[in-house]
Parts: sequence; C-alpha cells; structure tokens
Amino acid sequence: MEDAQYRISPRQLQRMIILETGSIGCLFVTAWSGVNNGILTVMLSIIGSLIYGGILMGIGRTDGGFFAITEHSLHGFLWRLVWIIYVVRFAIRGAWILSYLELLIRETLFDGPRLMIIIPLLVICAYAGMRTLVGRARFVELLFWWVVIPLILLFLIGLWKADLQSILPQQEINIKELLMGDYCLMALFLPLEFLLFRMSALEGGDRKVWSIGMRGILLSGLWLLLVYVVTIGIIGSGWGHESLLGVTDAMELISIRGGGLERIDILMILFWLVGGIITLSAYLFQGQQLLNRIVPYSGSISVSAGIMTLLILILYFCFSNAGQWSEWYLQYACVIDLPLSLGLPILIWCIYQLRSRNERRHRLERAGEAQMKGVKEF
Amino acid sequence: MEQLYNSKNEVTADLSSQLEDNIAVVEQLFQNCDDIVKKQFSLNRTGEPVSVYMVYVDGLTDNTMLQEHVISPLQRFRPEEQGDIFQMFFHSEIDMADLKEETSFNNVINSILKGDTALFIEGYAKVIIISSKKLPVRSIQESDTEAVMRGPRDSFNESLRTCTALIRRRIKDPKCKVVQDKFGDRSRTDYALIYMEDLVPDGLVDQVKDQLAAYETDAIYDSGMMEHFMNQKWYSPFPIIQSTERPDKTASSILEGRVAIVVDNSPEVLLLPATFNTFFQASDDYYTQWSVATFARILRYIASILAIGLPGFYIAITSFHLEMLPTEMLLAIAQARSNITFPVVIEVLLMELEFELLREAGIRLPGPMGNTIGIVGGLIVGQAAVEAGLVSTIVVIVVALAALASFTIPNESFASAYRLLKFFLIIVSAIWGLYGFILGMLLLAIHLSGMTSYGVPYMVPAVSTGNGYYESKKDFILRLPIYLMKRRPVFTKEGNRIRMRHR
Repeated sequence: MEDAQYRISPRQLQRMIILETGSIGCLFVTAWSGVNNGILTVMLSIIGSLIYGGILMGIGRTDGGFFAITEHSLHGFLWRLVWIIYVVRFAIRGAWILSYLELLIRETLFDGPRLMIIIPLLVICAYAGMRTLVGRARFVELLFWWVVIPLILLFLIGLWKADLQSILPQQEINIKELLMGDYCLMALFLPLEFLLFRMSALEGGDRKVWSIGMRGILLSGLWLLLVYVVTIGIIGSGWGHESLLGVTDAMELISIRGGGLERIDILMILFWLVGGIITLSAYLFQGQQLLNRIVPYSGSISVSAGIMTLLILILYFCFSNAGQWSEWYLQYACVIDLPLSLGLPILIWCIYQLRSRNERRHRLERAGEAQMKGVKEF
Repeated sequence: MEQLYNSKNEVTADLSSQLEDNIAVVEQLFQNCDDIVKKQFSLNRTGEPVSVYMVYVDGLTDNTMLQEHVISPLQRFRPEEQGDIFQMFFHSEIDMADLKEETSFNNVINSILKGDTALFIEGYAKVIIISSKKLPVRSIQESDTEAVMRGPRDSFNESLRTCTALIRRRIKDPKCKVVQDKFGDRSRTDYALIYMEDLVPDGLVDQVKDQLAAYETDAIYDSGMMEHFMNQKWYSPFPIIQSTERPDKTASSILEGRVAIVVDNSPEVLLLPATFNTFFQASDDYYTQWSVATFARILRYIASILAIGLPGFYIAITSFHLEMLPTEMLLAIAQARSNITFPVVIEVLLMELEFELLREAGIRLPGPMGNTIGIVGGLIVGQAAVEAGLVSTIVVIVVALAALASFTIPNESFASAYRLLKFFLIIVSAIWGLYGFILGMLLLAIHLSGMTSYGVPYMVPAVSTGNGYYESKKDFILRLPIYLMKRRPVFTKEGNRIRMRHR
C-alpha cells in the first residue's frame, strides 16, 4: 500500500484519466474509427472503455494494489519480468506518441531538425516524469483547465460549422466491421492501464473512487466523441480517415467571429501539445516507477527517468516518420498490446486469488489441527 | 586574548567576587574600544564603602535615564542595617523595573553590547544587568514598497522590539508567543519567532529552529540573509518564504497559523510557509469592497502572465508565426519595423536591458534624481532609440507593458523571479517560436507544481493540499466577502480551522 503521504484524491485521478486518455486519443479518433460507421464505433468504444476501465480499476483496488498482488503472487524473477514487459510496452507507446507530436510540431509550429524538436520535448517530459505520484497528480491538476477549456470551447464553436448529416452512417451497418473498428479504437484507451498502478494510492471510500473514476472515463470518451463529430462534420469522413492530422486540419477551418488572431488553430495546437506532453510524461513516469521496483536505485528517480527517456528515444528511431509508426502501432496495439493490457492483469489477479484461497485453506487447516491437538491433550 | 574566547567566540572567563579580577577581564576584552564607558566608583561613604564598576556602550544607552534612576539613587545609598548589598541594589535602590541578575560573563558582555548597563559589585560573582537601551533607530514610517490606498500606514523599522510591539498591538492574545534567540557568532543578531501556540502546525516551529541552528556564521545584517540559510531549494527563483514590512499583514499571517521571523536591524519580517497565492495578496484587498478587491486580484494574475510571457510571445509570433496575425496588424508591424536593422529578439533584449539599467539606476540615485531618471529614460532615451532605428515603437510598448505588469505584483522578491524568467522565455521563444514558448511555460508549471513550502504545496489552492483535502478558493483569484471566509487557510493546525461564527 502506498505511504499515506503519497495518496492522491479521486478528483486528481479523474483529471489524469481525462487528460492522459483524451489528449492523444482525440487526435487519432478520426483516423482509426473507420470511414463508414465512425460515430457508432466511437460510441461503442466508449462503452468498451467503461468496461475495460472498470476491470482495471477493480484489479487495481484489490488488497494493496496491483504492485502488491503481483509481487506477492509471483516469484522474484517472474514479477520483475512482468514489470519489464510493462516498461517496454510503455516505452513503445511513448515512442509512438513522440513521433506523432514531432509531426504535429513540424507541420504547425516549428519546422526544424528532428533532434531540435524532440530533444527539448523529451527533456520536459523527463522532468515531468521525475516526480512522486502526488507531484504528478498536482501537475496534471494544475494544467487541467488550461488544456480542456480552450479545446472544448473551440470544438463547441466548431459544432455550428459541422455538417452533422455527414456524421451519420451512410451505408448498411456491418456488425463485423463495427466491432473491428471498435476494437481498434480501444487502443486509444490504453492509457487507462495506469489505473492499475494508481488505485491503491487513492484517498476515499470505494464508492466515491469508483464513481469518480468511471465519470473520468466517460468524460474522456465524450471528449473523443465531440472531437470526432466536429472533425468529420467539417472535413468529412474521407479526409478525416486518411489524414493523420485530420483533427488539426479541422481546427484550422474553425474561426471565431470578431477578428483577433487570424489563425486560432495554432494556439489550440499549443494547448493540445500540452495534453500530449502530459500523456507522454505519464508513460515516462510510470516506466520510471516500475524501473525503480525492478532495480531499486536508492530513491534515485532521475536515473530511472533517464533510462526510460533513453529507451523511448531509441525506440523512436525504429521508424523514420510518424506515418510508419502509426501504421505499425495500430497493428501492434490490436494484436499484442490490447490483449496484454487486459490479459496480464487478469492472469495475475487469478493467480493471486488462487494463492490467497490456498493460503486461507492452509491457515484454516493448521488452525483446525492445532485445535484438535489441544482437545486431545485435554 | 585568545584564551578568553572559545571556538564559538564566547567569552570563557568566569565572574569573580573580586571586583579587580572582573575589571581586569573587562579591560582586556574592551581594549581599544573607545565607545565603551567603564566607570568605577565607591558608594556609601559614611559607612563601609562599596566599590562598584559600571560598564555600558556610549550611543546605545540612555545616559539620562542611567543618571536619574541608577547612579543618583546609588550615590544616596545609606543602608540602615547590615545586609546583602546586592539584593538591596537589586530590589530597592536601583529605580528600574527591568533588572536582571547575571552569572555568566559571556551573557554580561552580550548584554553590554546590546545596550544594557552592567553593574559589578565588590564581593559578588554576579552582575546586575540594567535595561538601559536607547538604540539609534528610524521612527515608524510608511512603507515604500507596500503602499496601500486604504489601511494602516505604519511599517516595521530596524528595531526588533519596535517590530514585536507593533505586532503585539494587533494580537492581544497570550497564546501569541515570541521566542527570541541569536544568530551569528560575531554579530549575535537577535531574532524572534512569533506564532500562535494553538494555530501553528505541530513541528513547524521546531523545524525552523533546527534550520537556523544548522548554521554557524559570522553575521547577518538583514532578514534576507537569514532567508538564504532557510531556503531549501536554492536553484528555484521562486521564494518559499514571504517578506513584508507591514505589521497588519504579519499579524494576519500569524493568526492563520504561519510563523513570523523578526530580525533585529531589518525592517523586513519573514513569513512562512508561503504559497504562490500569498504573494498576490495585498493588504488593502481586505480593507476595500470585495468586488474591487477581486478585480485587483484578477488584474494581478493577468499581469503576472503578461510580465513573464508578453515579450517572448511577441518574439515567437513576429519571428515564426506571422500568419496568426490579422492583415492590418501585420502591415502595422511591418511598417513599424521597416527601418529596423536588428532582429526582433535583439530589439527586445536591447529594450529590456535599457529598462533594467534604468531600474537599477533609479534605486541607487537619491530621491529627486531617481524620479528624473525615470522620465529621462522612459521618454527621451526610448523615443531616441525609436528614431535612431534601433527599436520599433511596438517593442517599446511590449516591453513597457511587461514592466508595468511586473510592478503590480505586491511582493518585490516574487516579482524579481518574473524579471529573470522573462529572459528565459525570450531566449526559448527566439529559438523555437511558440513551441519553445509553451515548453518554457510548461517547465515553469512543472517546477511550481512540485514545489512545497514547509510541507504546504506551493500551488494551493489550485491543487490538493494532500491526502485528498482541498483548500477553499474564497481567497484565491476571487476575494469573496470577509464574512464568507469562515475557515482559516491550510497553514493552520488541523482541528483549529474555524475562525468565524455568526452569532
């Protein structure tokens, strides 16, 4: 169980869920939702995310938390292996996000050498990752409204411009295609995996924690839905599906009456960039925490954060551009990452429950034997 | 000489019942100290003579008071019966209330150097310390750095006792404790920790004492130096301890569970813990209408963003993102910059440098000349720079606006952090444009969110105070009516948060 001084509030958890899930998820929702049944896919994925998040929250809240039940039920080598798997998976996701952010920055903010874009970004993310959980929660809590308000406002304004007819499914609904699209979109909710590691550090009763956690997942899903509706409504499903920067393209077409800035989208992209950095630093933070458990560095968070940053940087160079990364990542997420994200915790939970039951049985048997012995002696 | 002192610069000699021995020690200690008055005289001429030896610092003592209430009564000393001379002097002959009996030579010397008078008496290995201080000190004046439109105008001065008296005047509660000690092996500067016994969080006072006890140094001359010894994060430009010259602000902070440190010879009192929000609170926020105060508060927060971000934002837009600007503005900027040979970042840095030079010169120059420099610099030099083609008019406006914005922040040391960080944002904006600007702001946000001041998160009440507790936002960006602020803030000990009830 986390030390009392490292406990976070349910409100902080909710804000972390919304920002870490919604920031990057919104940018990919149009590209990954399919051309024809997009809106239904998104709605289904919201339902899926609630179930997915609920399972993870349940496992994370078990007896001392996911860290405790994993290290209790598995051998020293095995649980370290589990953490290594998580570290690698988080690093891959981090590298994917880094590649996308680099594309976004290059296209809209700063067209410079690759390293000049990603190095300062990684440094900031590493600095944000060198925290305790409470420190991280405060950071996200502080920035929450700065990210959400401008983006929500912009998209609400964009609703007036959106052609809502183009959002509705145009063809007969293919259930298989719908479910496949839904499954792909579930990859956008993978940041919910952090719930496994945070549930044990929450202040508050189970009911409050559950309701706020589920509300956070629902709100991030609704944010994705809003972005999808406005983007497709403005640029159409063809463009939205083909372009990796569909959402930002749509933002460019939203203007605010009354003058002021000619291009409001660049400002909005800045806020989105903040959201992206929050998500990337979340992977860095979690990876740093796991590395510290695998090999304790006597409290040296900066060393673990440095290793995680280096890992992400090395993986980032595996592909030459964001397009290749996204293409590969979607396949990897559907085939390996998503199944592991649910399968591994469930497996560990089952092993823990079995071991606990066995231990309880042994304790009862020993207690019974002791009692019998006492009776016989008497 | 050296044998009289130990490694901590304390006098090691012992008081003797032989007056001559004590005199020899004092003469040796105060050799070549022409401002020390040492007088030996005999009393009780008709009976058995009593030799006494009086020592004090000329300039720190009230000579008139000494003559009237100490020397004259002693010279009239005619005991009617035998008895303890020391006790007679202590309890009846000396016409003063503030007397102390001292048995340590080190403490005697310290008292003399603080402005007290030491009276050695033949036959006694103890000394009477007479409180006779009359220190040269500035009178109570209005604060220059924390002026208000409405509210009390008195401010602290360099006398520790005057400062504590100004606070006592506002808190007439015996639970207000004043714990004094010394800092500095040679200066032996007095300081006082002032706190409310029932409101201060457990362990805070001890933590402060431990921090101060951890250092041995020659001297401190101001509370600012003491702040450096207590600052846990030397690399952060943001202060975690607040300083003020205002007694009303100090008293209200003490009543919120904070600790005040008053340092002798310094008119600035330290208040801790301090959060980001406390630096935006001005005293007259609480003396004016809540709507006016709220407006001022909002203005300060906006000004703080302008102070730190406006020059960098301007550089980013004009160097990297001209497409963001409306056409008319773009043409205006192009026209303004048509004669300028330098890049935007050099223009801004030139103007910022000029402004910082003016600011420093204005502080160092005496009163009338300091005002003149402001006019000369602002109007003439700025205008001349524009006409010479060094900078454009828009840059002058941007820099002036940022500078004005920084002056709205009530606390000078906090505003100084903005002055420094502004340059950081200018540089990153010049290199990376808006991308660099947002990264710079994010770096600050990460840094601020991770800071704490004596256990209190720096960004309270925007963030949780810890363990799921949230501070009320009634005195944050909005300053709600006083009667709604029923709870003391997070600085107060748990369980004692209620400060107001409606009868």
